[in-house]
Amino acid sequence: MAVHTLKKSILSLGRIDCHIYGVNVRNPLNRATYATALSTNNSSQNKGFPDRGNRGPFNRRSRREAGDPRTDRMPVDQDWPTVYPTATPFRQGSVPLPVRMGFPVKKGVPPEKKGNLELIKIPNFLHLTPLAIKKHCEALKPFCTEWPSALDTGAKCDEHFPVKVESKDYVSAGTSLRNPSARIVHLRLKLSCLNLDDHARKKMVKLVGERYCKDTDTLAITTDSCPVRQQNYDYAMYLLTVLYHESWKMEAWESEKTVADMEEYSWEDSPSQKNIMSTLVRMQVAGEGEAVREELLGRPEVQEYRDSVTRLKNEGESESSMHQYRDAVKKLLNL
Amino acid sequence: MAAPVVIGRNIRTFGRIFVGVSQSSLQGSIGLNACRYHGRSTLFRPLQLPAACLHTGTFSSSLPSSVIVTEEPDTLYQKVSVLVKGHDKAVLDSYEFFAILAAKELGVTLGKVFEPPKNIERLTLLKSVHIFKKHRVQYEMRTHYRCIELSRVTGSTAQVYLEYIQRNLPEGVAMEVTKTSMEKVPEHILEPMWNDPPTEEKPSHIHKLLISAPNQDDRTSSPETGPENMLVDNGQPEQGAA
Repeated sequence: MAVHTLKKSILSLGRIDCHIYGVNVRNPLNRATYATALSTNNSSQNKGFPDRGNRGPFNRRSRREAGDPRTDRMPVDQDWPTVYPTATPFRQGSVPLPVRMGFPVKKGVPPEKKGNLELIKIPNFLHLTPLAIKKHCEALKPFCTEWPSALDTGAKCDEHFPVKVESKDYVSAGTSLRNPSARIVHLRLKLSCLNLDDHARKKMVKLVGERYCKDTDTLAITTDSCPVRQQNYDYAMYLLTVLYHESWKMEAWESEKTVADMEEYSWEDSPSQKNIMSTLVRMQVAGEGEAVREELLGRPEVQEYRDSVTRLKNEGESESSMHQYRDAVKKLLNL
Repeated sequence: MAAPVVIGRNIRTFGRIFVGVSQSSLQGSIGLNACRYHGRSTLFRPLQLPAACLHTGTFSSSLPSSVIVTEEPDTLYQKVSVLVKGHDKAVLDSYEFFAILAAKELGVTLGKVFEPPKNIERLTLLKSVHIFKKHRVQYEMRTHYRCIELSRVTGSTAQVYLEYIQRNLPEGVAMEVTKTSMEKVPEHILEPMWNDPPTEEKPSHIHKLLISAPNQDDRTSSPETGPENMLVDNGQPEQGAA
C-alpha cells in the first residue's frame, strides 16, 4: 500500500519529473509532441480516455501515434518492386522522392507531396519501373513464340499468305465489357493470287462492284451483319467461295454481252477498224476483196495504229499516247 | 529449423504452378514472384501466403511444365496496331514508354510509334439555371491519342503482349487494338468446282456456247437458282441485239 501511494504521488507530478527509472515516461520515443486542445496535465493519466465528449464506445480505443514514414528507413539499393508490386494510389510515406504537384500560390512553389490530392488523383506508374518490367517480361517469355524466319519480307508474306483478315478489339472502362463494333471483319486479298481466267476475272469484278479497287487490284469484303465476329468471318469466307465459283460459271445470257458492256476496248470489229480499212482501200485503188483487207491488216503500220488507238481508249489521253497516235497516223497515211 | 525450410521450398514450387496454370491471374503471380525476391527476409513472411494458396490444391514437390504447347498452328499477324486514348498526355507518355520497353523485352518488332492529333470536343451551355441568355459557360473535352504499331507478330506473342499491356492500362485510358492476320487461300478456292473448261465469250463462238449451255443448265441444280436470279437482276443490262 505504501508502494501504491508512492507511485500515485509520483505519477500525479505529471510534467514535473518525467524521468522515472531512466525512462522518459511522457515521451518514450523522443518525438516532438503536438500541442492539442486537451490539457496536458492529465494526458498521461487519461491516456486511454481522450476527452471527446464521450461520443461512444469507439473512442475508448487509444489513438496510435503515427510512426516515421517508410522513406526514412529505405536504403538506396532497395528492391523497389516490393514497395510497389501492383498499381496502387500514391502513398507519400512510401515514395522517397521530393515530388511537388499542383498550382502554386502567388510567389510560391507547387505544394509538397504530404497531403497532396493531386498526386493521388493521377494514375502513377511506380509499379512499372524498367526493372519491374524486365522481371515481368522474363516471366512471360516462355509463353511467346518466334516469328518464322523465312517470312522476313512483305513480299514473301504476301506470296504465301495472301488473304488478310482484319478485326478490332476494344478495351475501355464502363458498365459493359462489350463493344458492338468488335464484330466487324474486313477481308482483303489480291485477285492475282486466285486461280481465275480472263472471263472469270471480269465477271468477278462485275459481281463485287464497289468492293474492288482497280489500282491496287484488291478485293475488300466487309461483313458486319452477324452479331459475333466468328460468324462474320465465316460469312466473309463463304462470300469469297461463292464469288469464286460463280465467276467461273458461264451463263447462257452472258453470250449476249454487247460492246457497251466490255470492260476494255478491243480494236477488232470496231468503227475505228472499219474506217481505216475503207480509207486505205480507197487510197490503194487496187480493188476490193477479202484478200486485200487481210493483207492490209497484216501490215506493220496498221498494227501500230491499232496499238495506239487501243492505248488511247484504255489508258486515257496523255502526252506519250497522243504522240504515239500521231506517229502511227503519219506513217499510215504517208504524210 | 528444418520445417520452415521445407515449407519455403514448397511455396516456391506452388508459385510456379500459379505462373503456368492460371495465366489470367498474372498479377497475383507477379506479386508472388515479387515476394520471392525478398532475399534476406525471414521465412515467416511467405508463411502468410499459404493461407490463401491452400484452398486451391495440394502441394506437389516436382516442377510441372508450365507452358502448354498445342498442335494447332499459330496465327500470324502482319500488323497489330494499338491505339490508346486518354485525357492526359503525360499519362500516355508514360504508358508509351512502358509499352515500348515491354515490346523490346519480349522481342516484338516495333513498327511506327506516333501521336495522332488530339481531338477537342467543346460545348457551350447557359451559365444560369433560368434566363440570362447572354452569359454562357464553355466546356471542352480533350482526347489525346497514341498509336503503337507492332509488325510481324505471332498469335501467342500477340496474346501475351496484349494481355500484359491491357492489365497495366491506367485508369481513364481506353485502348483499341486492330489486328491484321495473314492466311492462306482456302483449299476450296484453289480450283473451280465446275468440270467444264470455261468457254470464251466472243460472239463468233456462239455455236459452241449453245451446245454447252444445256449441259451447264443440267448441272446448275436448284440451290443455284438463288444467286442466278440475283445475277439476272444485277448483271449486264439486256440491250437489243448487238
